[in-house]
Amino acid sequence: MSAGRDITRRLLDSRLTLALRLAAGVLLIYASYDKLLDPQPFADAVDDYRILPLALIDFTAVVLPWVELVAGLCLITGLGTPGAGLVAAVLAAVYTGALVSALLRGLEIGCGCFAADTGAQLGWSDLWLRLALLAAGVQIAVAARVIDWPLSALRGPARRRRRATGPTPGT
Amino acid sequence: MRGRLAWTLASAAAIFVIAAALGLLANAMSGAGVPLIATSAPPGRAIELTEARGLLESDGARFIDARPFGDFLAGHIAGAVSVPLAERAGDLGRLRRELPRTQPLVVYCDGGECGSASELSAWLAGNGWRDVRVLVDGYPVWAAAGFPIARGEGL
Repeated sequence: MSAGRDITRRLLDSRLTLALRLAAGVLLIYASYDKLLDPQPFADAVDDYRILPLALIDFTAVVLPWVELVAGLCLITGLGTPGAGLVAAVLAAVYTGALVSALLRGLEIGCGCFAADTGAQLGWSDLWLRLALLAAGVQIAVAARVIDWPLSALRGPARRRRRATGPTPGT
Repeated sequence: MRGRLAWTLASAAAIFVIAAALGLLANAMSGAGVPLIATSAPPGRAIELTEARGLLESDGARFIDARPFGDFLAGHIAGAVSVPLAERAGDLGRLRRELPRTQPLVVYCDGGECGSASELSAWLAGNGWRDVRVLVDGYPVWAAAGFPIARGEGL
């Protein structure tokens, strides 16, 4: 029983959360970069998976990189961190599902995961990073604080000042 | 616990809404934006000789030769890709890698009643290419007009 508690405590350790937040944040921002600059190759890559109807492909190609960017920034700055972790986990789950579906259908396409025009063909090895992001997203969603470091550090001095001066009149 | 779950869901929804708003705004303001509602042009629309030549010169379309490979070797529109109608299924992987679905395509055969260009254009549209047109007059009229041609395997 105590061993189980110990494992849970380690999995929810704030230092692990911080490391995962920073890694997932950098990964998401890096993934969004090329797609933000030129959404058309990403739209073609999304189209290659032959999952979405034509009418939704361009909307997805426009919105998804911004979701990656905003979630990545939230993870790094510590703002709304559990929500950003949830978004990262959902993105990773969607990417994993699309990859597995394409591989099982034998599609000879590029991953479209980072720079959409690299030309490397999709393979099972592309799954690992998505699964790692999924695990990181779940950990962050469960363990991170809503306002987390470094943003939480900015609130620290104000709290300490309030404590030092006592309660303000009328409170 | 319930409060934390509510915060998590609310902040995830906020991230999505803010990102969607930023994405739509940036797409509307960017020169590299994409049309938000993608539409597929009906396949098999005809394109005339002079308009097709204009597309070739402006690099506005890729030309697809639907004739047998032997005919392609004997002479084809400069820069064209050979996709013989009978072998189209085997070429799909190569075409997907080389031709973006948004790339306008002009398909041709021997003109007149040859029919393979229309059939290939419908197949290409069915496989996701959005703007596929058929050069009505086909290769013989193009070559007779003195427009750019090439021989051999080409690209």
